[in-house]
Amino acid sequence: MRAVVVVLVGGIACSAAPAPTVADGGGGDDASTAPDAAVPAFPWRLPAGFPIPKVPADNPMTVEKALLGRYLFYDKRLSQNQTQACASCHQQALAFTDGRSNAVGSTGVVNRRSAMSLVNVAYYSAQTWANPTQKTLEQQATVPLLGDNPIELGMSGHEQELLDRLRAEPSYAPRFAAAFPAEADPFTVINVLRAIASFERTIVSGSSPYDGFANGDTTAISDSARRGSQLFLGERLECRHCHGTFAFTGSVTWQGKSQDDLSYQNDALYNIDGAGGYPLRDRGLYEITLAPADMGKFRPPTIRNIAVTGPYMHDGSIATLRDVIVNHYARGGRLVTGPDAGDGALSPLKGSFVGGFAISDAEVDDVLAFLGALTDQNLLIDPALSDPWAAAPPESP
Amino acid sequence: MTSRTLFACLALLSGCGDGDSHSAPDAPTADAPAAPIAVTIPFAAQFGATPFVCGAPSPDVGSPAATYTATDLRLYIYDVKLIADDGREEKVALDPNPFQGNGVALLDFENGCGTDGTAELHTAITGTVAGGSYHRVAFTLGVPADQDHLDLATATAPLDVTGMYWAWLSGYKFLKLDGTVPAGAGVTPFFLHLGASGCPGDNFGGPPAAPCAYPNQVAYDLTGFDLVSKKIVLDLGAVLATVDLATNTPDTAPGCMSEPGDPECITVLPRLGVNGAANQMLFKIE
Repeated sequence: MRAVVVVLVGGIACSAAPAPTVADGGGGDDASTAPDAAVPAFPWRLPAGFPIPKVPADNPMTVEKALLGRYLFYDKRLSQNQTQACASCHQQALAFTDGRSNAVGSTGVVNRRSAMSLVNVAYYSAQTWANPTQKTLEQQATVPLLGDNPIELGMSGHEQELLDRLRAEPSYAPRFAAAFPAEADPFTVINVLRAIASFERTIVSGSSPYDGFANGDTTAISDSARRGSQLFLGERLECRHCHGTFAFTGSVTWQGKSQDDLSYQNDALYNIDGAGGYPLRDRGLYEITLAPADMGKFRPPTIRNIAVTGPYMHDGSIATLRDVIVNHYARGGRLVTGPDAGDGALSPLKGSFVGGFAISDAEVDDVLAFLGALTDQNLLIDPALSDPWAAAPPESP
Repeated sequence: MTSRTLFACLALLSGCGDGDSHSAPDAPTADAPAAPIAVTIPFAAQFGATPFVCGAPSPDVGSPAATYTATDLRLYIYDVKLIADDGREEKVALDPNPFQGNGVALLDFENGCGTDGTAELHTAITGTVAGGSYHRVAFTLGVPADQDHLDLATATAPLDVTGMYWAWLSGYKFLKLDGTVPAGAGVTPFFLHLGASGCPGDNFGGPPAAPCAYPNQVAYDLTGFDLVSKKIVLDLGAVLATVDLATNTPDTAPGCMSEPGDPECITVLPRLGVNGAANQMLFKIE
């Protein structure tokens, strides 16, 4: 089911090699299909080298749907107490994260995990930190919308109220009609999710200085960043094994790809019991599969825009990238004191690429320069992804 | 179906139609084939002697005894059967209504006093069954495995109730009991959510690739029932009798959310019958 093999060929960004046995257990819900003749080809804005994302067969991309989704993404009417929108925890200026260690829901409940960046989510084989059952963005969106532990948007049981609110906003009627032209009453919860997912698929980041460098502009990044890229891609640090591909994460798929790559790794962040145990509050993939070997496994996230998406790790427990490199990866796992005490470096469950390495202060600076060169400034201010309500107040009836 | 047909044939051959001397007064005279009858199977819920009332406090729940204010109680059941005195198992065909469909019934004891419920109640199953004399009732707590996956686009009643969605596991809560106990100036929540866990693969939009490690479905077979004077009582006080509702183990779900290792689940799950219905304390006939 989970197959992950990222084989590195040569020295440059890794290629995701076909895995031997990837069973796509789905019922065709993520099928990559030839474009429906009735639906015009979607004008993706893809950087050089980016493949076309897979799109669920029952939710083809349209400009109208993605635009509706953008309005919904930024609409606080999607939370029961109308204090939060999707964008509250996924802010464009922070590469669609929130700057917190732990996300905070609309009722004030603190999430055990850190809000993930939404850049390039269209390519992910599964969403969220550690849930292989959530293959699509449409599915994933049910968790923040409807989940009760923790409460995020808190709309469980209030879906009629949500739809009534949306109907009461005059500008939505034409937008829903344009997004779902075949439906007599397009105001449905699934259509809300479909539109939001369509917008999210347009959040594509691939125009960082490093992309310029990789595409031949040798002046796009500093010498330090260039040295950092060599360290990042090299065999001493081993970073690329989990943070490879154009997406800088291995768990990706796209149209025409024969198999979905999906990888969960124990990052040696905790070792509370000497057996590789993670704190009870969050044991990662284990909670879904209940397989002991999945203790502490999480999906390695993208490191695009990583300089603006701290704090770091699934629980926001490391404040700075320097700490991530020096006090976690370089020592082959983090040493934790206090309530979750334990030496991650000694975890029997840790991923095979978290072996630790020697690195000088100057080299750390180089890696940090490289990571900084992955910040896509255009993404952070792209008007096409910004809050449309701020740009244009609600239309009057 | 097969056993029913067989029975009918035997009855015809033997002429046993009026030999059913154990018929309860409420049962029609046993003729073969028996005409279908309309049935109502009432349920009730209580904490000890205190009936479940949404939002009302119930004293002496758990150990040490606490005052538990329940704000939600809903559960799915399916495969409802009546077992006749002669051993025949007769499936109850559920009447279609907003709480019954897809072969599944949602029992709903809450009135909207909590966070995601509705005013409507549904505390009795209605349907039709072959006529007969019945003193046993059987049903399964849960949602059939091939339907235990969320699909907002296609779900119909009673599987379209988002308050019963278990979104993070892409399935349904089979049983949901929410409530609080006093804690200092505030309250501490204790939620009991039963659902399938450890389900392999991508079970969103389709059934799991293989059986779940913890299906957490329980088939009950209750004796001492009759269709005239009895009801099925959810004895919530018995289920929670040994758990300390006021003290949640740090860093675990508030209450028991089907995590086998959660200390708040260790006594509760067996009392629901998940390790064997013989030891269940959830349902009794009164």
